[in-house]
Amino acid sequence: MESERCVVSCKNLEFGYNPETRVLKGVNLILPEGALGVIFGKSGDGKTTLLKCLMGYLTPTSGMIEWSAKEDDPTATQTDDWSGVGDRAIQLIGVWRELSKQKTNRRMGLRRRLLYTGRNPSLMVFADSSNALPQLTAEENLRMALAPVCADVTLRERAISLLLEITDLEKVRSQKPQQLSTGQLRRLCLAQSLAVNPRLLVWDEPTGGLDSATKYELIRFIQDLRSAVRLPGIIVTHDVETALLLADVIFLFDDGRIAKTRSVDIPFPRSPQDLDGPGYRPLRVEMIRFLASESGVTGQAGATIETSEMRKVST
Amino acid sequence: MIDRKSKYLGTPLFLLAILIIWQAVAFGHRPLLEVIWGAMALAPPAPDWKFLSSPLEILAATPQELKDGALTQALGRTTAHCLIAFIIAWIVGLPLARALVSSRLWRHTLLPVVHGLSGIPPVTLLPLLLIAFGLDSGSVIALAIFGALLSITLVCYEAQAHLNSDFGGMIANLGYSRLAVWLWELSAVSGELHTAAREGLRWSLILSVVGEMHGSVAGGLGAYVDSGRLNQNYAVVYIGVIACGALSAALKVALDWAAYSIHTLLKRFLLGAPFHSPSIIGTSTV
Repeated sequence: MESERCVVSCKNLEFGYNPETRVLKGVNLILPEGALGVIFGKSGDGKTTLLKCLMGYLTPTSGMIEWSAKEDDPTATQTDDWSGVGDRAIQLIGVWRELSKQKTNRRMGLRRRLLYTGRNPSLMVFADSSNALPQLTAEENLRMALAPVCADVTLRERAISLLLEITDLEKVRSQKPQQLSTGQLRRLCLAQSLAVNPRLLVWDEPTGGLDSATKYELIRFIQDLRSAVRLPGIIVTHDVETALLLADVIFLFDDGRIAKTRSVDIPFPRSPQDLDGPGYRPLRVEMIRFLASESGVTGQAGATIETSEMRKVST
Repeated sequence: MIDRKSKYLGTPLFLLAILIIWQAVAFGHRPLLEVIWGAMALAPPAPDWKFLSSPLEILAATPQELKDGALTQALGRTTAHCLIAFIIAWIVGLPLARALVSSRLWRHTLLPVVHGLSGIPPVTLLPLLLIAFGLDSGSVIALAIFGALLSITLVCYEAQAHLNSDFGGMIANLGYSRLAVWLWELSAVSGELHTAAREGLRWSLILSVVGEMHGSVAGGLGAYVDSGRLNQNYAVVYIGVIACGALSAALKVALDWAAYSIHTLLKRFLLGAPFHSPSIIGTSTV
């Protein structure tokens, strides 16, 4: 794995919000090219802080972050067989391709030169859904994400309609974030991150606050996208199912460090029904044990939690 | 339907009732007031009730004041003082607030000074300002700037300081320039900036009138009201007070309209697409 070309990697990364408290204590992470990595661990261990450091929102105290300079188009398909890919995913990939052409053909007028840098966009979706600007409607929030990459108003509006359809937000397109439910708000932020033809998906708790049906629908959609195009990403979650259904590689995060790295060598598409199957069981058990041991619950109570979760897994 | 009618009619009816009572008391029952004043033994000797002009007296005096041009000139001068101070306060206050947010050095050195100065009643500085800027408009505008600037700076600082720390980074990562990031940040705190503008305008109007009233020879509504007092032409005092109220209301409406227009234009500029404003009357989705 070390020899593979990486999209993003970090070495001995350390960070603290103040000199006394270190949140990240020497994180070493290598995300293989094209892979979707899941950082899995208990709340409050510094997973989101790690994402913020990777995205440049926070400046690490020490260590090194490296983004590969690979500039090839992520919408280049990795399959000729589109039979298993959902219609919505195919439509979105079509829009991304047109956006890529826009980028190369773009004429920079004065307004665009003043407002946009022309850099490849990326958007970290925060767990608190603060990506959605409160003064804009759902539709305008998507327009805000698309404006730097798309000068063609017709294409932009088509992309917005498609994203609203994919995330089932058409009925609330004119509503502001504070008028949306938690799940709708989360879907809006995910739509924003998908809108920009991202080089890397960076999501903090993407399925938090979603009901089971919406969660599996979203997971299925991401699987669809990833079966068709090279779409690397880093996701932070403490949801075992989300991790197992989406990850190529799982980083078990403990107390500011990556304690273990596990590859998930199960082919896509992965179904929630299979999660109890033998392919997933060892890893699932390990993840649940990891959470239970990390939670600091010791003795009989901890044993009870673990046993009941294990029973669920085995049945 | 009845509720809505009563809601819209309530205020004019109440005002009308006040005017009728005022007219009745001022016109026919001044002796009655003296009796009440004496019975309550509030502050003998009783004041000269001539100061209580009736609404009809004020109404009758208004055309003459307008014809003389004294009222319109005073109104124009106060508007000019107020707006010049307000605009200068914004031009200085907004970048100052930005500097306080973005620079720790500025925050540690200048913010305590701004907080300290905001505790000083601006009127107390008037004698110094009269010496420094002379008896004309300069001292009035300086006084109004002082009050409005501190208010605008502090509200803008608080608004921007409480903005999510990741907000700028998120916008920049989407491919927006530094200018665009700053404009998005302003857009995100537009509600607070509107409050700052209202506060700033309120202070600049109040202090313009106070400055005009005391010591300066700049003219304006403050001086107009004071001249009515000195000449014992009390109807003029009331006309001046009403003109101040009307000016304040007109400036507030203009400010609200300007704030809405700027917000809309800013969004259109940043998004590069037509902005569909929500209808004020509204057709809510059921």
